[in-house]
Amino acid sequence: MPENITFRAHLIGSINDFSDACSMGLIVRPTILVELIVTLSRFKEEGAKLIPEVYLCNDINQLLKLLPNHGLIHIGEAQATEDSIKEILKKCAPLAIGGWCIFIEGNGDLFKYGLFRDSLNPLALPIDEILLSTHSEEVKVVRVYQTAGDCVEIRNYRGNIHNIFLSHKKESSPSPTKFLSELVDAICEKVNESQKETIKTFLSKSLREALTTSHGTLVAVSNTSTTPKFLSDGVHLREPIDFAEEIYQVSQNKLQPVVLTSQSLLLKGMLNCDGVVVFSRNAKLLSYNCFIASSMEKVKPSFGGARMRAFETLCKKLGRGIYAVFIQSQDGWTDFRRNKHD
Amino acid sequence: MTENKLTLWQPTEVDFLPANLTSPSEITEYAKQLSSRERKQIIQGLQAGNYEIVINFVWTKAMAALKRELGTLGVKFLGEMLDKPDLGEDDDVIDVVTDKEAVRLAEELGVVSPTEAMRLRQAYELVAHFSKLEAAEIDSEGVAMEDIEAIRTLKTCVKNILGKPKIEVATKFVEFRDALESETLNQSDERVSMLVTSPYFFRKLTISILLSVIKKNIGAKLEHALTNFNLILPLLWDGLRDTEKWQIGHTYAEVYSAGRSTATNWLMQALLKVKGFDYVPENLRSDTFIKAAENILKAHEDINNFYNEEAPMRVLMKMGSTIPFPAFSICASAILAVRLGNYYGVSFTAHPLANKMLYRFTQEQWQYYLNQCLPGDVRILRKLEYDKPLENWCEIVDKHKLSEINYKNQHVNNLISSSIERSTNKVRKYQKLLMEAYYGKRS
Repeated sequence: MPENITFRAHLIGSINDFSDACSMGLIVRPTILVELIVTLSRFKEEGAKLIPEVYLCNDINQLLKLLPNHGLIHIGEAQATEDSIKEILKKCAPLAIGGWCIFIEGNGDLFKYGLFRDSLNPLALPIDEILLSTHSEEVKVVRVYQTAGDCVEIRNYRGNIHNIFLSHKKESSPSPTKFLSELVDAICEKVNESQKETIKTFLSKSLREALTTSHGTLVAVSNTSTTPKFLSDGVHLREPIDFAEEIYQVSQNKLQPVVLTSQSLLLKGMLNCDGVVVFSRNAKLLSYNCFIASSMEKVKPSFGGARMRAFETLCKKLGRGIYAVFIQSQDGWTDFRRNKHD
Repeated sequence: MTENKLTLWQPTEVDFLPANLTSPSEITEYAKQLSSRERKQIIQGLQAGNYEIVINFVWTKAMAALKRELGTLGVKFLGEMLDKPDLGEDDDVIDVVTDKEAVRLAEELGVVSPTEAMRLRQAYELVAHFSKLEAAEIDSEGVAMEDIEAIRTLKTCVKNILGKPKIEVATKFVEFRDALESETLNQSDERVSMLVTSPYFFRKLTISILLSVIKKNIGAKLEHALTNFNLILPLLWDGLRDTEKWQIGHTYAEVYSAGRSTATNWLMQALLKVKGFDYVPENLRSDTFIKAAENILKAHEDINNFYNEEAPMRVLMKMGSTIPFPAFSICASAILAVRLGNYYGVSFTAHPLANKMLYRFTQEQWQYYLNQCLPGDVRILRKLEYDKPLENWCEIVDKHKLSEINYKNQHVNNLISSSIERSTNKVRKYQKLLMEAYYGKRS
């Protein structure tokens, strides 16, 4: 008799403690979480890859009090079983774009579900940073989110985080999002202290959103206010996009916040182009679509393609024109190096 | 909790000017802040009957001296007290603080007693009135200041400002204000216990100062302010009125929208501790109403208010009949300020608009204003010291059937009952009790 081996039982066992720690009742029982994790890890609808953020809660209205200027759309109700998860995602995931997130509210035998969003203000703090940092029993919530190919993160209001690798990745692998904050720190290193937090919030949000849909990218942070010569083969903006200045203008009500939204879209477009996107250390976007002079590409990594080779070459230039380098591979995994002697 | 027993500062009143002085030469002798040449000119001017010019000069000198002394506390701090968070140390106190505001600050900081503050306000009204008169009006109707008015104003200015070599200000309070952003206080700190039992004005001011520091600072100052806010808010929350609770919720929404993660997270923790998220505005639509109300109040408190009140009143009126809850307190205060008018009467053009807007108030809104806002709305309470605004107040209470509302505050209840009876003495008695409850009992 053939024996079926699945990772389902193992996964259910692994997240049991997480589920108990949430003390949110049926809505975060292990079988529901596993259903969500597996479905979200490779979610597609009509052939399109979708990466929705899903929040499980006991009371959506309680949650939304923390998000001024929010929006809410109720979509429907379903039985509180794991079978309902696919139905909920099918109805909601195609709508969970442009800042909309899915909520599933469970407080009995029924799941109520729909979508919610924050203020859509490009400077406002991201939803997850607000909802998942309360450590309060008053606002119980769990987020389930695909952070990279075959990797889903589950995180609760108490600060417990699990990265579920649905591949052969080792348990010791870093979280795919680990390096994003380090990249943002490098880009904002020389901006005015009084503005630093706001600029970091904006760039983190914009980069995260852009990287979610990117097919892989390379970002370099220049040591100076110009693009290094060895990256001269690229598009160099005559007027670099000065995020610090624009954010200051928005905070003084001299510019509309929508300007920042449009700059975010430009950034997204640049990250989707081939080549390297170059920032300065005072949050200016200098160039994109930059390629390393071929004579310099002598580094041959043991694995990986052109992007990885370029990354290794850029790492060799740390301290010599380059301050930091960030890579995101096609499947969403990231790496980061910074010049430690600066 | 026993209120009003402990305060972080208390005005000290020393009567150095004999009450029976009536001649300009006797009074000016005490004006230590004036030069002998200025004193001489004042005496000569008054003897020649140039009352308006002399009193204008005396008032200008007194206000400059008062503002200079207040300025030693820091213009930023004065801005916090006046709800003008944009003021900074680079601003000149003489330019940015109006005469009316200087008198209010002097009273709130205990530089002058409430009675003397009232006299200073009357002096201001007198000076403003004669300054505003058209030349034709003076010539044709022969309007002029009387000698008794001039002497009284001179005496008030000398007694409260020009006669004091250095004005005593609330240094203990200023030290406490500095500690809020430079130290991390703990619950056993004597200053924290004193704060909890202090008059409402002081608790409100502490909250305003902390919110202002949180909005504007980074680094150590921000961290001290946030830690102190998390310590102090749970101790004060139950006794805070809705106006202050909305102010806290609004600050949370502001720092959240500005992407300020440290401030947002700490404010969130403080609000979660007190279950205060019902006071976070769902949207910032209320901001537009708050700005409109501020414009009305600015016009109302400036010179030529009777001409300037109409335009901002029309703006508020066109914004719709539903005033968002977070903005209701200041909107109601602005509308009532115009409707009640001042010592000289009301604006003929803005007054009917304010009246119309008051008829849009529901009983629930009246109940909210009278229970939650009026006990701290010193702008409106002070108006009841004057006959014409008091008369208008009684009319409002009668026409809007305000006696049918349930009052939690006994003084407000008595104030409304006396207003129905049109008993001015009683109304003033309860007005005074409300002021004392707000500022603490003072000499």
